[in-house]
Amino acid sequence: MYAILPFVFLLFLGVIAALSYSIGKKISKKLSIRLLGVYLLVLLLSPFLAAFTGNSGDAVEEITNIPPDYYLSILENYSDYTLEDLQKDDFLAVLDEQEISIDAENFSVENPFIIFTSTHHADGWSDRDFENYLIVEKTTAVEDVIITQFQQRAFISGVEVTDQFEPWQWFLEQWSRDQQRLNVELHRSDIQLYSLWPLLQAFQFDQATTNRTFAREIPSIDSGTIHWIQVPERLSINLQGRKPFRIID
Amino acid sequence: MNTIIHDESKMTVAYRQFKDKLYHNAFSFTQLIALQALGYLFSFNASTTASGSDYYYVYIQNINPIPLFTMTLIWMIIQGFSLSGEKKREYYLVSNNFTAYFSDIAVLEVYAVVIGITMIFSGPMLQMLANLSLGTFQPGAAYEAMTFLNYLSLFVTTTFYALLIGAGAYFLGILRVRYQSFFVFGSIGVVVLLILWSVLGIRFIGPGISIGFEELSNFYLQESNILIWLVKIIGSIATFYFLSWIGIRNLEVNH
Repeated sequence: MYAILPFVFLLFLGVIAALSYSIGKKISKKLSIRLLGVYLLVLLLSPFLAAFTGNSGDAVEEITNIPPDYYLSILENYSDYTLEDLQKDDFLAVLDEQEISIDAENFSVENPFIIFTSTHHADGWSDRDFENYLIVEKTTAVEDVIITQFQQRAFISGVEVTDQFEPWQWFLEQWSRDQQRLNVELHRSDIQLYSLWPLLQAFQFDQATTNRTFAREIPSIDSGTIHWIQVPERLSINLQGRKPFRIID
Repeated sequence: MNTIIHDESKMTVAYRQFKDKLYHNAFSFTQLIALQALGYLFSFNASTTASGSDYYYVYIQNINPIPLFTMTLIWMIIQGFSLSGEKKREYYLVSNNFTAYFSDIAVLEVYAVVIGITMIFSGPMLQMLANLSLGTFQPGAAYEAMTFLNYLSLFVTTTFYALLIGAGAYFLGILRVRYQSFFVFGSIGVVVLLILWSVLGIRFIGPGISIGFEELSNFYLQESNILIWLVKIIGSIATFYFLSWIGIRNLEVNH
């Protein structure tokens, strides 16, 4: 691997030499000096420009205000809230809103509409109870099933990453010849962050240590989701799961 | 006209030659800007840290100025090497080996200071570029904790390292000018000697022996005492200066 480096270096020098030869004559000395002047000016102004263009200061302040596991307190006291309350909540973000068209007339007490979030079907690789994140509201305000997904706003070292979470994908599934059920599919969220590391002294800084420190700072952000499912009041439903759902009648 | 010029001291001629070289080589600053632009680009993809679970994965793209500094040093190598090859310029009417050498060294030192200045501002520049181009950007705790002394040490170290690299490249360039085709054979000979040294070292001493760029750079990088580091770096630069002077002192300027 290292044996090839001198050749890569020589190739690189060759490319630079060729480019310099081809464009060097077109750029006058005065223009070069002016370019250097402009470049140094931009560098000198860069601390101010960095401060002017920065936008992470507010986010750092906000993270300290969000109570830990705030979404859990909502799920536990769900009957105290309305959908509108959550939509206005500063600590929650509306991640997605899905509308699933159904015909309520096709379902009855004997043949109910099933909302299916069984642990082992919806999430085959862990023992997670997704029912914990659901609030089902029977209301006259809707004709179809409407699912609003909320995410507790999440931060990593002061940077908000809430909008990088992949929303759950709800869909209608043919359960049997006569039955349809509402199922959900989860995708892994890939969160991309950028972090600037300093050059304290030329080549002398412990990058490995600082990286490890930063990795430890990543908080547990894989929860914090609330799904508010609105179903037509006249629709007969059956909640299929291990734990009772939170139902607002 | 000639009388007036010849009346001037060597230092005056060297100073004029220095200013002339700075101006004549002004395009090298454009090269510097281009290479640093490339370095800034590479700095945005220096390394990645990742962590997560089944439901999320956090990728932290580390932006650090090491690639930028490497590109800048490459520029310094080019300048050191090309300055040593400028002994045929016709406009150095009264130049001699001393003025040519002195002005070359002075130009290299100016270049090293320019590098030091540009590296001080590399962090804020990267921060500004990241603010403008990336949505989820975090300056990093270590970066935000940088003090005036950190910036000062960054300036000093980058300037000295640039000077060391530049002086080394200049010395090699002098060898090339002096020995011309023999320089190529000499280079090949050195490579063969190094390979032989490695082979014989492994054969007779064992795999514990290792001589490479890393070991060489650790001579400077692993030094924790600032005074010893200064002695090492200044001593190395002075050695290159001295060897360059030995190489140039009886060289025909316009040969």
